[in-house]
Amino acid sequence: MRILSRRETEVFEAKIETLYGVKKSLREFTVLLSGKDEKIWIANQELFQIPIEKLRINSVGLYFGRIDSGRLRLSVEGTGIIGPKADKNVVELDDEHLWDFLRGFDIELKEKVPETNDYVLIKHKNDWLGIAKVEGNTLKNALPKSRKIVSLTR
Amino acid sequence: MPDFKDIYVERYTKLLGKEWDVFKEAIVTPFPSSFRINTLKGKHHEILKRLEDKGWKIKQVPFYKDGFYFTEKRDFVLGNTLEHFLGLVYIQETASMIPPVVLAPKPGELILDLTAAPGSKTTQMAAMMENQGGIVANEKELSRLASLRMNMQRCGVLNSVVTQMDGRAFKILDMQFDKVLLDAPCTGTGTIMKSPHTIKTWSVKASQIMSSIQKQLIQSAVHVLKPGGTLVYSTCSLEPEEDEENIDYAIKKMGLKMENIKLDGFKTREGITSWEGKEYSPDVSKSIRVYPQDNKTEGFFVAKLVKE
Repeated sequence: MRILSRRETEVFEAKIETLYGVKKSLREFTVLLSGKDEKIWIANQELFQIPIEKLRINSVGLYFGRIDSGRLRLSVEGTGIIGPKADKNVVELDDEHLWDFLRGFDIELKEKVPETNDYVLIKHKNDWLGIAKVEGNTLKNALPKSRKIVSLTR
Repeated sequence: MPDFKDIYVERYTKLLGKEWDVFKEAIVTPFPSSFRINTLKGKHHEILKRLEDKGWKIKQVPFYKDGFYFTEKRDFVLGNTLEHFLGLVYIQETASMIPPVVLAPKPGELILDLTAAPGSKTTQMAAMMENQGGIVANEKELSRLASLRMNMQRCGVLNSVVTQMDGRAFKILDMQFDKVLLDAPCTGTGTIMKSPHTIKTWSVKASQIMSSIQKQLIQSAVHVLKPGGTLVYSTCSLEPEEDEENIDYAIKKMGLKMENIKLDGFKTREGITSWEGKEYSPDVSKSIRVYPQDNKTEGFFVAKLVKE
């Protein structure tokens, strides 16, 4: 895991701006990238007052997302950070679809959503729930297994 | 009623006298479930309004503004709610909220959580610090790291690094923290209502072995604590070997000073100052015992110490 330079961070910011219309989205964070899986982590800057190089590190900060075949795949929390400022590639679910999404099911929409090769952000009212891929009228659920809720309480 | 070992009955009769009868009922009785509002994911009043709008019958924990417990039996599983999914609430036993409240981490401080999994207290401290400053959340056991990371992720913690080290290894490190939380591994005799097998597995020997490990962890904690810094030591065990004996050790051998603990509206007992022929420092009485019969919570022990 290594800390990215400002210039390296700007590459991700540019991608987020193109996809979701959010400018300088990572400016307030220190951004880190972990090895082979290209996972992106964000942390507050004060954390680095701790000489972490002396420690056996497992992870630093919050998992923001990862690059998946060239696409930015945000975590649920990454979606929560970017979503409230996003002005495109956002799909809002109704009550019925909310529960299906949280259970990990794909969603059949009545209306077609503009297709994109990248992930769209999923929201319900003011809650940001994660991401999905658009295929025709279908939202392909991209919730990680660990976040799916098997038995829901409404 | 489970079969308590004779030695267990004997010890708790010594500790509690006539109250043993009340205690033995309380220690096996399920208590109201509780949770914490996570202010890293939303404003306190907005989350609270949302829960009230959903009809949750809840009441605030008296000593902590973000802690709540259910006043009526629920017909839903808290862990299966949208609010839990979003990290707006965190399921946490009331007594487990005490150590961070006593440590009182502030934004900008550097904190070591020496034995952090599953992350209840780490995430509580991150919220109290408003995601500022820094926390080292350490966990020795690889199998417990996943739950620690998952909980920190769901709660939106930005100011923490997760490390996988034997907590005792910190005593050779050249680094310092403003405050250290040592919620020590223990025999868990305060949590029998949740883990009934503890009645069978616990023994005096087990507490003595645990006590030795806990003293080594205290050494580590003190080593990395800044002069003037605060150490909060806690366990969910009610065995004096794992509690007061270790605080006596911290005072006499490590030179720490005790501080008083005050929790508004929550009944606690003073730490004991003698046990099985051993006399502890009188200051050990400043530590607190939380008995299940007093507040309908787990049993807990907490002490607040300062390094001079």
